[in-house]
Amino acid sequence: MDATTFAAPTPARAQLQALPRLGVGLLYVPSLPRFLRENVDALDYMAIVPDRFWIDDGPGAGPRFRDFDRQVEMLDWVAARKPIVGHSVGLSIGSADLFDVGHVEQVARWQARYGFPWHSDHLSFNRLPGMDAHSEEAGLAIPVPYDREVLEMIAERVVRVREIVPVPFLLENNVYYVDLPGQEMTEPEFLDGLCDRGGCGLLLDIHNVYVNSVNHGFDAREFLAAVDLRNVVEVHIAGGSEMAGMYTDSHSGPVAGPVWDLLDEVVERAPNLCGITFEFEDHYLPALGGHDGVLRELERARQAWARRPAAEG
Amino acid sequence: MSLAAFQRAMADMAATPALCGRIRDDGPPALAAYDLTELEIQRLRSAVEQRGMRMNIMLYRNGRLSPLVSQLPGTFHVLGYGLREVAEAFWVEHPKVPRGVPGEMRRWAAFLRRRIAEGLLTEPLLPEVLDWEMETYELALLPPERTKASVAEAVLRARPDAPLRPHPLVGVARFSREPFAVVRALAEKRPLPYDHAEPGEYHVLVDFRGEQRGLAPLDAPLAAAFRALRAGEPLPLESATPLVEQGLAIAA
Repeated sequence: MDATTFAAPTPARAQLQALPRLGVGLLYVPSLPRFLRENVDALDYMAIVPDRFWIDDGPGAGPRFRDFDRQVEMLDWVAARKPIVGHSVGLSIGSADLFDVGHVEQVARWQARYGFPWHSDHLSFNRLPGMDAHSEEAGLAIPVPYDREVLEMIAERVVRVREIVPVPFLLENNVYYVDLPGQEMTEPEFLDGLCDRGGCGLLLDIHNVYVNSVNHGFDAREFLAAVDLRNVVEVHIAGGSEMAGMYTDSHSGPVAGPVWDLLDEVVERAPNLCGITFEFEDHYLPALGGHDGVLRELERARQAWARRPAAEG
Repeated sequence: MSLAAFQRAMADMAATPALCGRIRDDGPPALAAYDLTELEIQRLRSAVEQRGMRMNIMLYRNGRLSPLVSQLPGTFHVLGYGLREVAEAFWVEHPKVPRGVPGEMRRWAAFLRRRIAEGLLTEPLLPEVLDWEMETYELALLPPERTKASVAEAVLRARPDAPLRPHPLVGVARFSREPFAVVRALAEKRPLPYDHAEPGEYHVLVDFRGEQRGLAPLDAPLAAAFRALRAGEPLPLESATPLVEQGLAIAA
């Protein structure tokens, strides 16, 4: 792809600098309503996967998107009290031959409805072009190869997303279990290049970095030293578990110990950081220690948040 | 086209372990159906040799099963050791993942019901546990507050001769064993209580009108009347009256 085929993005760094510093948040899962009704003030914001609040009947359906009303009622309750941040899973920005403008427009409608200060998605593909207008689900999120051609394709799409949704757009770094040989760029080079070429910010999933470092034998601190942390707007923290000889990003309980150390480092060095989001998988609430366990993780994240240089000053 | 073919192959490999085996055994000819560059073939051949490919396969399977398990935990408990065979048959029949969980839930329920009817799944309590959990799942999709408001409005606006219809936030389920013992065993992941739960004809109300989600016993004539109303059958007055009195049916 010719790198000159799309307009150069307007400088985005200033946009990131102007974002509100929200603090500590939680990614919404269906087991949370009771926790939220009792502890909503333990959060500074709530992150949601907006795609889980609607049913997508696909292009051509009228209307294509229908609200999942029971969940939306809960969301409305939280939104009246706390800022909401969107973290989609449905764009599949890395899919070759598939870019779903309808999905981005739906995200834009939800951005307007809930006032997301920023929104994000994943640097991977989970959809494949179908035989007709409907795409197929790949069944899992698969990272893209870190090649220049792929970077240009995704950067062009980032620009389209930014044109449609009027707030900063972040992409989340991948967790990968298969290491593809012969990639043209390292992951930090790819992430930095994408932010430069597309004008997006970075949602740095620190647990993903940790998982990759364990499974592929590199130093997570060196990764953090290589990536431009000025692009980081939000971080994700989580826990994982061993499976089939690998350490997985299963979100299966408390935040992994080494992730807290990495978080402290990122907080001190990421000047545009606006939020720390704790993620856990719905059915692992008991493994976390129930609501008290969630509160403990949030409190620890709040200690990290207090390490921001700006917070000291 | 090449990147698209590469991505298609990566997704197919996660969904179809046999393809990984063919790539390992036969090399590039196993990838002949995909329009790939030499580098992409090299990457895919490397992938199948890595333990991470096994992880991708597990994640694919986990990703398809976990929304079903979380909504139908009792059904999966009843399937027990038979789950793997049933799930693999389901994936062979439905290799494509639909968009949205409700579609996959209904497809899975229909698949199980067909296998039950064909005699391939013989656990006696499976049909009723599946029906009870699906009834609960479908009611949980409705927004309680908005539905209650629309019911109240419809009742207010109803003409005196308005037809009777079931309350949208309730359902009924039938059990052939004492349901509290069955549900307790499912919740505690114990073997089903065939020897300890009294056999009989039991009906329970699945009720999403309030905050409480417990089981409430329902007598057989009331359950039969509710089912008949749902099926659109005309009801005699003596059957309709208790449904209305208990708020299980509304004139709207």
